[in-house]
Amino acid sequence: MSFFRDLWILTILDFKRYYTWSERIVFDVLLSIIGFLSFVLVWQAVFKGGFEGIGPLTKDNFIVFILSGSIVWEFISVNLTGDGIWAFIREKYQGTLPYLLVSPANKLAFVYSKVMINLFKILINVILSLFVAFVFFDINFNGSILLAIFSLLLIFVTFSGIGIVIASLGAWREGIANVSFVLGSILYLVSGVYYPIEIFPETMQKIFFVLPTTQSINLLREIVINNASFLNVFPILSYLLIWGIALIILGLIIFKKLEKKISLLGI
Amino acid sequence: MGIIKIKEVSKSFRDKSQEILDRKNDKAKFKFLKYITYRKLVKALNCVTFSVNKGEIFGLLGPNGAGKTTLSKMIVGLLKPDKGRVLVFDKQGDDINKESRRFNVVFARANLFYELSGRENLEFYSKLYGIKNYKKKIQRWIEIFEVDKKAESKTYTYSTGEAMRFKIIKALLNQPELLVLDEPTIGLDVNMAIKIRELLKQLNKKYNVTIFLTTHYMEEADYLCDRVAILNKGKILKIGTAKEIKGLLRKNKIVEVQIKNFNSLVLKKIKDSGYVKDLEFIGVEEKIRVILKLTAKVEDFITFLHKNNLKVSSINVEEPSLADAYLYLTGQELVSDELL
Repeated sequence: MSFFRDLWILTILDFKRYYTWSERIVFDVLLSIIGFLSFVLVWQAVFKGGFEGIGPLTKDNFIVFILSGSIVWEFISVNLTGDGIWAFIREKYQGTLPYLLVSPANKLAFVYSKVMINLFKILINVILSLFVAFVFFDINFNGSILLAIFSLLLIFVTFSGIGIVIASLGAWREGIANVSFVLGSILYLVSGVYYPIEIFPETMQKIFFVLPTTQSINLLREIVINNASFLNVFPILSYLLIWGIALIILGLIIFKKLEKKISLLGI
Repeated sequence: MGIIKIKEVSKSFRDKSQEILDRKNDKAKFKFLKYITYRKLVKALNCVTFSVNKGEIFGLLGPNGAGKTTLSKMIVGLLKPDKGRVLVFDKQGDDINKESRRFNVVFARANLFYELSGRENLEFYSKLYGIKNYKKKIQRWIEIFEVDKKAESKTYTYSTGEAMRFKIIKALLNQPELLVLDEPTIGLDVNMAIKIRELLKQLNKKYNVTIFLTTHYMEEADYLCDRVAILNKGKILKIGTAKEIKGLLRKNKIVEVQIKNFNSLVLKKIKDSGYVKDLEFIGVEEKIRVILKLTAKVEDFITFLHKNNLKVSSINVEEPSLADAYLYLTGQELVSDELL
């Protein structure tokens, strides 16, 4: 009987720890709905005759389609769910934060340093994915490699603002860092990483289309599938740049506010 | 010249345990509003004023929760006061961090990176502080602190004392003009604690390093500090040299008495005798240390014990120590030096 009693006590404990931030419940519910919906729509499209003709996807370009989606997602998720968002929280719990904050180290460099190590990891992942794609599949990349690299860097910088926002807010309320995982999962499902967003109902498509995550994926696909030039993708680049500037400014404002809050309330 | 100037500093924190109590007791309809209304502020520091001069060793003595760490955090720029000013090298607020190369800190409750070895930690901080020839300097400190055998091990394998030694080395790496030490000898064995005290004294003498230290240990404050401040419940009760503070009790007699068959009734009888200002237990329960009132005579107190059939095994009349002065000022004990 002690097993069941302990199981009950430990389950309640984990429940309390997991739902320390009530907003997380909203995101969890949203994720279940969207997760289920997207899988139903994917299989619906499959049974209706496949993805052929839905969005930019064809039988010939599906590997590049998937590869470009996953590469862009790596650059986005490094900021959204990577180590950066735990920058303050981890150091806070390990008790290493006071020494770092007292030191002459630039505090923003400290947050970005956590992202950089993940960036290094995803660069290796991207190289390995490309290697596997070239060795095992007969794929052709069109478009400018330089423009593709420039776009990926822009995507990384654009979303680094979100990373700073989450890291800063997460240091204040850890639940926010947890929610970023759920938020990341939702964006992953609605931004067309592995399937075209055209499988969603029209109203939802309009919402998902304006998301910077969707536009980032579109940007790389335009370059590597449709051989788009700099001028062709200029509107998307500008759109992402505006998002990037806005998010970084927001990130820095929240970061400064966090610094002030820490200095008033302590670590 | 004051390197640290604390001017009428007050700081309050919200007491979370109090929030929970209030929420449980709250019968109001709008609990959310009550939750905010009832969050109580606890004063960690209350109009604290003092300054630390260049080249001085200044000790802040106080029990847990007195506000020592709060004050240390303010000095290194980690916390801002609600009221008043904290000036370090004549800088305040965010500007304190701009002087971070001129000071360093040891917090008893902060850690080094556990995934790295002690040496790697020290190398990391050396680079961060821009220290030249840091490898040689690190090696020298490692030898002085006798942690060479542990230098290559990950810090999670360290004992409290070993970790503290590495933290102190970290704080010495940038040759700071000001060293802020929050309970630097806590958890160290007696020999190492003595060695560190000696080292701090040497650093102070040789390099004129100003040291601000908080401690539980009277012996430490007495030995090391040029001046001591007694902090209790966020208020400074007294500032002065150890001699001056002990002088507060010069006219009070301290008597150590060992009584057979000691119990709570006996204790009450002694407390209510009219001779006693304060008392504390020493080691075993039968032994008590009594501070007599200014008007009381030792002979009268002994007569009182005999008249009340209290069997005295031993009795000692002593000069007041810093611990007695502390007890006199705050009405409570600190951690005994015997625990060191």
